This record gives sequence, structure tokens and C-alpha cells, in this order.
Amino acid sequence: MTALARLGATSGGRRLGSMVLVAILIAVAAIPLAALWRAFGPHPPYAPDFTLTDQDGRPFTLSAQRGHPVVLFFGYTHCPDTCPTTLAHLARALRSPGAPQDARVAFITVDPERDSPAVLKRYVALFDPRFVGLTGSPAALEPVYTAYHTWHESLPANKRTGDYEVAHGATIYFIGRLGTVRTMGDWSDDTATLLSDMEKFQ
Amino acid sequence: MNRFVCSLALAATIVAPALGAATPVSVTQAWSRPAATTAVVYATLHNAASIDDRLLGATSPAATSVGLHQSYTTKMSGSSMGGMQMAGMPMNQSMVGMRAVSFIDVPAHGVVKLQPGGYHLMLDLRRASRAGDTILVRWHFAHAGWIATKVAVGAMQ
Repeated sequence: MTALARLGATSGGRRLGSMVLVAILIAVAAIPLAALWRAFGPHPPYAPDFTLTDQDGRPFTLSAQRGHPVVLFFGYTHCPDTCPTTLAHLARALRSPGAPQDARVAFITVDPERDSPAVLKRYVALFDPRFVGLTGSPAALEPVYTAYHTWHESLPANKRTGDYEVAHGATIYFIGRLGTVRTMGDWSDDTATLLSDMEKFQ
Repeated sequence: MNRFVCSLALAATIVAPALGAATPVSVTQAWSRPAATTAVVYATLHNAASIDDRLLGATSPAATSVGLHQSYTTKMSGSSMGGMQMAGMPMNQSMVGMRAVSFIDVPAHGVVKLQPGGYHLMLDLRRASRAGDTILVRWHFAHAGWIATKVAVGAMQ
């Protein structure tokens, strides 16, 4: 051992050495611990997952959108008043500076009988290219309505025209990039309110 | 008797144009938004007359049918829905629905607004409408009769 090494082996040097070692151990252990935490720690409340059919007939899976904010809203294309009011406000909020430009607005029909992908395609195109219209079989849609507490009911048809209206839940769900529900809104929210909800995505 | 009918007819010919000149009911600020199949028309109905009037219906050459409708919202709190939650947040879900109405009353000297979330006309369009289009709508009032308006289709709003 040289004189220099003997000097380094004084009690002060040993303390420094052990601190470095502990720091390294913590750093190394943190990697699997983080993974363990992610796997077994308390889960963030993910938005209930689903796969439906989009306006181009392609499958749309909510969990596959992670990394993008998603706004969910339920309605139907034959609704002339409240549904387009909400979607128009959402479109305007989405085009505002400060809105997450990679957000997607998914409009889930409560009227699959009339809202085919082709009908939805013409409808969502009226609002914004980032809008997605989702439909499916009643068997595919019902669990989605249940998971999102979206009550809906077709009302008696007009005897003359055969047209019917659908009453439905009017909650807007804001799902963040990590797939969790960040906040909720209501159909009657104005553009400014919707924009402030969208800013919570960031 | 004959003289009475004559004077009645004379009175009608004098009074009717006078009434027509000062139409007691008017429809202003009528607008619509672009739609693929089902369009909406909102407007403000004014009744300057001293008697109540009533909108009975409307027609439009752009639509196969025009209905008088009223949207309604029912608020339901999370507690009334069995403590319903989403992502740990209590839900105060509202439900929206729409009903056909047979008429819309416009009281004397009153104003009634057809606006989002309330009264509106629902048009089953013959073809999709676009921003910049004009839709002719004829409104049928119980007393004021028929009033024609041009409804502008605005940008999506």
C-alpha cells in the first residue's frame, strides 16, 4: 500500500466511500422498485377500456390511445339540439390556443340502430377532423354505457314519421394521456369551461 | 242584415291591411348550424300584440318535416344514484332528453327564445346543409298567421 492509499483509508475517507456505495445501491434498487411499484402499487383509476368501431369501420380501443388525451361524449346524430351544441363547443375549445392539439374527441352513439359508421362519418366531419364517431353492436355498446354510467332510453316514436328521440346521460369524460379520467364535464358547459378541463390534460 | 254584412266586409277591408302593416308577431335572429340529416332552427319570437299568440308549427321546403321540440335536462346527484363514482370522483350526471310539443305560447307583449337546451325547431333535411346556406322557414301562429323567414346557416357553433 502506498502512503497515498493509507491516507485515503482514514476514517473520513471510509465514511465518504460508504455514502457513495449506499447512493449507488439506492439508485440500482430504485429501478426494479419503480417497476414493482408500477405493477403492484396503487393503480390510478384507468378509464374503463373498450373496443368499438369508428366512422371508417376500424376498431377503436381506448387503451390504445394512451399518450393522447381523449374526450368521451355520448349522443346520437339525429339529436338536433344538445349533441351538436356540445360537440361545437368541444371543437371550438380544441381549436383554442392552449388546448392539447393531439387530443381526440370520441363521440359514442346511444342510437346504433341509425348511427352506422357511414352516418357517423358524415356527422363528425362537421365538427373537427380530430373527432371520432364510435358505434357497435348493442352487445358491444351496452358494457360501455354501463361502465360510464350512461343511462339512455329511446323515447316513443312519432306516429307519422316513425322518428324517435333518445334521452341519454350528458357527462363529458376527460381522459388524460396516461388513460385515467382527469375530470368530468356536462353537455351544457361552454367553450371556456371545456378548454379549462382540456388544460388539465397537460 | 245585408247592410250589417256589408259594413263588416268594409270594416275588414280597412282593418286587415292596417293589421298587416304592423305585424304584431315577428321572428328575429333565426339561425341554424350545418347538419347532415337533422337540423335545428333557433330564433326569437316577439309578440307586440296585446293578446297572447301561439306558435302552432312550421314548414320548410328544405325539410320533409319540421317539428316543434323542447330539450330538457334532469340533474341527478351522485348520492341519488347510489353514490355513483367515476375515478374516485362523485358523479353528478345530468340526463338530456327532447320532447315534441304541440305549440309554443308567445304571451302578449312577450318574447320567447328558441335556443340551445330549450325550445327549437327540428328539421328532417332533404339534403345536408352547409355554412352559408339559407333555409326558408314558414312559421304558423294562431293569430298572426303565417310568417316567412330566411334562416342563415352559420358556422358550426
